[in-house]
Amino acid sequence: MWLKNFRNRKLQTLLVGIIILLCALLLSTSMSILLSLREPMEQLVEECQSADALIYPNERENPQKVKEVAKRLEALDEVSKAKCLQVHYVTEKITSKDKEVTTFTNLTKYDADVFGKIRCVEGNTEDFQNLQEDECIIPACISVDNDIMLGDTLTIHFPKEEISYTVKGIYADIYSTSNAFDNYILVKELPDQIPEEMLIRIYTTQLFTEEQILDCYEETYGHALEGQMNTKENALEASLLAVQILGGILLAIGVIMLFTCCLIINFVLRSIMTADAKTIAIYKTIGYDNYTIRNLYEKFYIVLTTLSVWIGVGVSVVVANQILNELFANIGMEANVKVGKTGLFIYVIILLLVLITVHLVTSRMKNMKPIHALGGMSPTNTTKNQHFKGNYRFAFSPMGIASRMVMRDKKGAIGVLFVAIVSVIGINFGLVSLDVALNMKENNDYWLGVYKSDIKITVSSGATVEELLEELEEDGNIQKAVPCRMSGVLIVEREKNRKDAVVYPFVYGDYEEVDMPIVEGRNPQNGKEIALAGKVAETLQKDVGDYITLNFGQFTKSFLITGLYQTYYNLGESCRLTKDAFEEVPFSYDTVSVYLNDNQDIPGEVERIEKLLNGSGNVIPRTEQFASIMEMISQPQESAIPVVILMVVLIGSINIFCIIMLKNQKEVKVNSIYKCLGYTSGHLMAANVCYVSLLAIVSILTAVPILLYLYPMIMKLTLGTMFGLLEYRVNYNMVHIILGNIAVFGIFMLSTFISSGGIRKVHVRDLVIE
Amino acid sequence: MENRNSIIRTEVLCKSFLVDGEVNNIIKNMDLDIYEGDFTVIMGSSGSGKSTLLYSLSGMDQVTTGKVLLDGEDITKMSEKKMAGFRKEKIGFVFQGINLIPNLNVYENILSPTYKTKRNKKEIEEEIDSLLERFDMAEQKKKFPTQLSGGQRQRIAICRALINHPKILFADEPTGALNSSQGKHVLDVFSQIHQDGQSVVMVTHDLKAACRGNRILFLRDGRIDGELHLGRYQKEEEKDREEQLYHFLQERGW
Repeated sequence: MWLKNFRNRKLQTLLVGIIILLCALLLSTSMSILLSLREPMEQLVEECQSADALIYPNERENPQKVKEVAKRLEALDEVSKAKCLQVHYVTEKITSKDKEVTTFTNLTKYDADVFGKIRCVEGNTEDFQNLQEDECIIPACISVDNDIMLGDTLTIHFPKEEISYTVKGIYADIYSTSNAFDNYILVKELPDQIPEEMLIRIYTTQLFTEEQILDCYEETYGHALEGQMNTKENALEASLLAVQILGGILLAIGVIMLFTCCLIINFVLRSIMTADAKTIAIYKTIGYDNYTIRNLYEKFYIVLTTLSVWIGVGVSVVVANQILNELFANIGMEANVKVGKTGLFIYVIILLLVLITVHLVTSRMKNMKPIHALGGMSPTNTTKNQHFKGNYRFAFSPMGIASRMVMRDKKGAIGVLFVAIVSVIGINFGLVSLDVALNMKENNDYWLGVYKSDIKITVSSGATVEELLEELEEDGNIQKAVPCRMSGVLIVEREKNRKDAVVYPFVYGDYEEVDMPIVEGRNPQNGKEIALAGKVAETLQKDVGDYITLNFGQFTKSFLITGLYQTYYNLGESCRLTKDAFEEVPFSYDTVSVYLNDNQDIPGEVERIEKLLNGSGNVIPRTEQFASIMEMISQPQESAIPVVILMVVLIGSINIFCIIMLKNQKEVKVNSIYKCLGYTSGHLMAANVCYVSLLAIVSILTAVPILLYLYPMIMKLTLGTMFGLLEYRVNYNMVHIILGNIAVFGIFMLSTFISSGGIRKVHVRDLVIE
Repeated sequence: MENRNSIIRTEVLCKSFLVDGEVNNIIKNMDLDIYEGDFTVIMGSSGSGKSTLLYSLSGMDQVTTGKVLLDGEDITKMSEKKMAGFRKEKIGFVFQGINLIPNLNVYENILSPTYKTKRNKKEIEEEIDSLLERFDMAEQKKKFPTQLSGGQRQRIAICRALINHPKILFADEPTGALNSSQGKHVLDVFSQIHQDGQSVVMVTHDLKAACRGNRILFLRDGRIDGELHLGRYQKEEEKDREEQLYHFLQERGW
């Protein structure tokens, strides 16, 4: 009998199978992503024997001081080796094949002893040792994101000259996995006359935590480490961040869809049970008991679930590999997701939920008595007596029939409403997220906490901001040019057993001049005040009105916290200071924010100012500033969300299709009666379309405003801990939302219309008792 | 007889089914007239084709060949849309299985065929009330079908079939699912509407039901095997009618 269920209900079986398959696909993809992320990264660390931590010394421009710090570190029992690394932090424009390369990179002298055994992704390892002056080795993340291959040329536009390197090799290392964070381009020697810095890579004797090394350093030398520590664990976590967010979103949608799937199985089963009442009763008359008959249904669903889940899990390997490959390409690996255990876990969960649903529905079978073998089981009507209300012409119009269906079959209506609301929420969530992701660059002033000017100019090495300002102030197209410092890092005075806390300061002369958003309090007004990014404030448990002490190398200084703002910049480890805060130390600006007069063509102005400055500044539109950070957050979402939206639409429309198809099957007799009374198939199909449209409109009108209200709160809750977001500002694009919902509505209607096609086959002859 | 108006005329009507690859002719080349104002009863043994004939006459089923002219129009050639309109305006149908719409109350069930007719609301409301009153169902107006007895439901079905003043009312074993007391109530309703001039075609195998008609057709193997005319039903003549019918059927091996 259970096998007959396949034969007799091919479409129902197929649709339920597809829904289970899609749920399994979503769940398995998300879980595989989340579970398969770390292993290849850990393999990379092991293979490369990477340094355990990278130290950014406070006085990194002073080689002597850096070497002293390295020496002190090496003297610690916990540290086996501390190697200095000569770098130039590239603020200059980098191009390849006439396209700008956006990344945070350091031009670095390659020393195998310092870098360990970096993974050779492309090229020859021996060539790495024998680099020529005009050759470089680039990290895979730069190669992948900018489509740079072996033999291509990479040009750095220094103010006085352009230096080009031929790409001799592509490598992977745990400290160079993303363009959103610092990475290293390796060359034989750094060019002459460019500012150099020195970093330290340390190797520990055994596994020590960041806190232990910092505590040990402080205990041994009586003062804190003169620099900021970035462990390989931190680097690993940072490189996984974007994909983890994506995996989390997929998992959440998968779980929601799983519950919708159970609801549909409930509907299907209830419909089957009503249709099979007579058959079940006949089985009972010939001696089958409830348990045996239930067992037949359970067997059917076990087979269906098993097939669907494992197909879904199988397909998820391809999808997860596809998503992970984008990440793993940055470490020169191909994803090889294994879904055995994950698949088994998902199979058990889905099977359990399906069987519970089946059990709950089939438990009503005891109400089917052998007597029903005579004529099936008629639904009982519990509706109270009702007066006819309203217009009698409306009452039997498609909309009238639909309204009555809603009012008198509330359970059925709630089912459709639930599916529609879940789908509408899923789709609108995706739409809004996609809008936010697409506008992230445009709104980088908010997400990164930078000044919303038109153009940003980063001063090239060898030039000064003052020289640039002189040039710019005379320019008629420029309304104002505000200097700023964005580079550098300050260490927060540490407390014992606490991780290293650093802040990357944005420094302006006067915050009155710039419009920089602040969530709580105000921007600093003098050298004794500071505004903190939410993440730092949260980590240090500080609030407006508290004090924070920062280490300036030679001395420490306390600041009053006057405001809190938010930023993705450096994962939320940021602060705002005024220039006066640096009065005791040498200070120079490194960036200029340019505000153009009205109606200026920004790309044209970028080109013009670039020529005007003649290489002394890297000129970019403000929206391209820190593009790699924005892309790290937005790109995985931009590529995955449309697919997720499509899947949600697909699941939603299949669900609606199923519900309406089952409703039509359940109401085949009612439809025959209507036809017998002179109603056409078109009229009855229109009634179904009106039924779903009524519920879809209700769900859109209720779910969309609620979602739009809750969206910033949900995002703040989910991303708040990662980035210390205090507020998640969303500028809703109402045109997109309206068009999106009209499209969803249209798809639901189409799905209803197609599934109602069966009404055409309903014949008045079916009313006759043979 | 020839002077009377024929409301249904069949011309060489054939209806066949394919059973296990073999053609099974149920109605064979039938030429038949159903007259306006008659209460025509179709009888016959099981498999004689009486129900198939009723469905063919009422347009419920497609015929294989031949014509069915209902009120002068050939219903075998009608599109679904035209047939729907035709059903609404000219045909009433009462089933053995009653077939009320379960989620509509009594009033709404009767109202349902009036959609897109050219009558005004007040007229329809008055007519529904008068039908309910006449069939002793006024108290049940707000109830749902599941709250009624079988006989009551069948009476509502008749009200629904009559609301658009059909040219002809078809009934397929209308008392088949009812007990004798409920069946009698329903038959009284049929007699009542026939007295009012309504044309009725009923299929039944129940003697008591059949003798309510004034014209009895006996079907055997897809052909009319005999016809009995009883005149209009009078309660006091019931016994005589039953006897006449009994002999008629007996002669045909019933």
